[in-house]
Amino acid sequence: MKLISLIMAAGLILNLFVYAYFFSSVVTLVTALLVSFFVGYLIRRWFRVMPVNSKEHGWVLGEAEECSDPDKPIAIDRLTLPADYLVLGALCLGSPKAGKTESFALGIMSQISHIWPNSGYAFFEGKGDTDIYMKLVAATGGPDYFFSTELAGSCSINLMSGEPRDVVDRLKLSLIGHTASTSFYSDEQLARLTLVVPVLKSLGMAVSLRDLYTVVAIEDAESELLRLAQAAPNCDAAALSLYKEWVNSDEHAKRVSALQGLLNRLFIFVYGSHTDRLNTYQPDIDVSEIVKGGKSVYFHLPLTDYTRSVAIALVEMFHVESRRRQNEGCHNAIPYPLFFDDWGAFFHSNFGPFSSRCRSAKLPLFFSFQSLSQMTKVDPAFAAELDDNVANKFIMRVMGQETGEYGVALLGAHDRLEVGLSDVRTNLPGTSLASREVARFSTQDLKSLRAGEVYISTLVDKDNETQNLILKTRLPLPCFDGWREVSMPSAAHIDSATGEGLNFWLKYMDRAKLTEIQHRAEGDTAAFEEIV
Amino acid sequence: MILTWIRLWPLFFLPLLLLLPLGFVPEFTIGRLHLSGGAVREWFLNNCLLPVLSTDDGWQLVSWFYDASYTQEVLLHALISIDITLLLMPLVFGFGKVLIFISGFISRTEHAQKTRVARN
Repeated sequence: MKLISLIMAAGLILNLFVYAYFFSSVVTLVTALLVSFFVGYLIRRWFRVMPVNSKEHGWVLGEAEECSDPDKPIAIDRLTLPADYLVLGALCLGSPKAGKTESFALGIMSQISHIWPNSGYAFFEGKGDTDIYMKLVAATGGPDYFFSTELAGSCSINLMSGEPRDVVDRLKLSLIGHTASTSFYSDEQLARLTLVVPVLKSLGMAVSLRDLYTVVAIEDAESELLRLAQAAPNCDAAALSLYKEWVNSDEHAKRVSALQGLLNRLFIFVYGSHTDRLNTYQPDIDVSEIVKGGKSVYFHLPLTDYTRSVAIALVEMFHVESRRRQNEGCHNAIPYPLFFDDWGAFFHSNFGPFSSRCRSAKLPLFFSFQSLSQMTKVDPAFAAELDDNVANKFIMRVMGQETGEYGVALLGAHDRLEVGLSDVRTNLPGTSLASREVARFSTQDLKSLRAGEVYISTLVDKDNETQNLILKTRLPLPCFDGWREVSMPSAAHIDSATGEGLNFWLKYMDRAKLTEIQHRAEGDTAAFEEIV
Repeated sequence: MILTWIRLWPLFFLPLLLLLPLGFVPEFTIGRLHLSGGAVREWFLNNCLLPVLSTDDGWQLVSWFYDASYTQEVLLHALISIDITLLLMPLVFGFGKVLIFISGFISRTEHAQKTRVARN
């Protein structure tokens, strides 16, 4: 009926123009023009809708197509993804050079002040490319803090900061290994960690992982901790009693042998000058403070085993923060987005619960990865879990078949109406209509995308109800002209372990002791290799 | 046969297809009546166009028509034919809907009867 109305309106306009021409009537000409504009408005209204209210603040993407029914795409002049739904997080999938970092991550961060005014962000960069940092600085002015596991000039952080149970939660994922054959050692290590950390934290002074290592590895340090804890007014009597009981239960060497795995894992966090930035008593980066203060932080994490362990500990620090925000009630809190760029190799077993908690704590997750296998390696159900926890999906160019099929599945299916006409002189001539549910896109569609082009599955308010729309657009590339001239941050002052704190490391871990520990660790490794 | 708009859409242009050629008909005689495309064009002008125009506009059009060439007359006739076609569109749409409903009703009934017979 709309089409007929428009055809009739076109006829009316034709008549008006002919009349105006023939009778030289200016009034009719003006009327014809007005009617033309009105018909043009009707066409835009009916066939070129704007599903997202452009006045709403959010991520402005510009021209787009709504492809919920890919057979009938609808053009959109100015697409804005509303901030209210961006706060539910986003998952971005794409092959190398598809635009995950520059178009997606940098794209959102360049508009973050429009999306969530007064909000900061944390950017976890898992590739190790320094040009991303430089482009971020060129596009946005740069983050407030820069942390790197490898580069000099990095701010410091203390992995032992926070409440004792938070520290235990954080460290157990980084420090305690698991074997398929028995859980005895992991249980033992977790139990001791749960015992030592509260006692250490009860001393009322700053502690670091180096202090933890010293206390577990050196008998004299253990004795001094016991003495200090007995004198500390805030030390929990039950914790102290249990710790004392454990200390007196057996010889130190035997007790340490049960914790050797923990010590070996802990060693990489405490040994070497590059670990100074993880063991500062007065760190630059206090996760709770930067989230509260709306500061931005960039974590430069080139993939190594060491970096992976640090990355997990960092993620768990934000996990603790999400729990705090949840418990305090975050209805009026400003969202603090967390960006995980190329995070595939860094997914860990607790990322699912972390993502779930972040969503409700207004810490929206924006993470990108290349391959489905990076998620299924963690757990076969992990991909589905993330799919459930993140509302917005950005599917960029995907060249891999399996990952492409996952992307196609994320974009869903639609009902396709198929019409068949038959003029064959049989018993069943005529028209047949069939409705089939088919995937909206194919893996070939994903392979054909240009850099920066993306299919988006998101939520928008349209026609007074929340709808899941499938959109196609090319993400606007932020302006990072002159990024080559940006220099990396100058070396920050790292207080090492000499600040105000327990300082057990300096007191007990002299060079001879460290050499002895290193030899012992190497001996264990050699013996292990012989067995294998 | 089940009818749908895929088969029926040419109906919308049926009035145009009928009216337009009438303006090109060569001269012929039925009894004492001489007819031609010119007579048809004049009839449409007198009965379709002039009644909706004001008197002044009507006179201006008539004077133009007397001096008009064959092409100009045909263009005017085409415009009138298009207008009539457009005005008839809602009616054709309703007619098409009725046809579709009837064909659907017949097919449904036929299908129901066959199903009933098959069940029995």
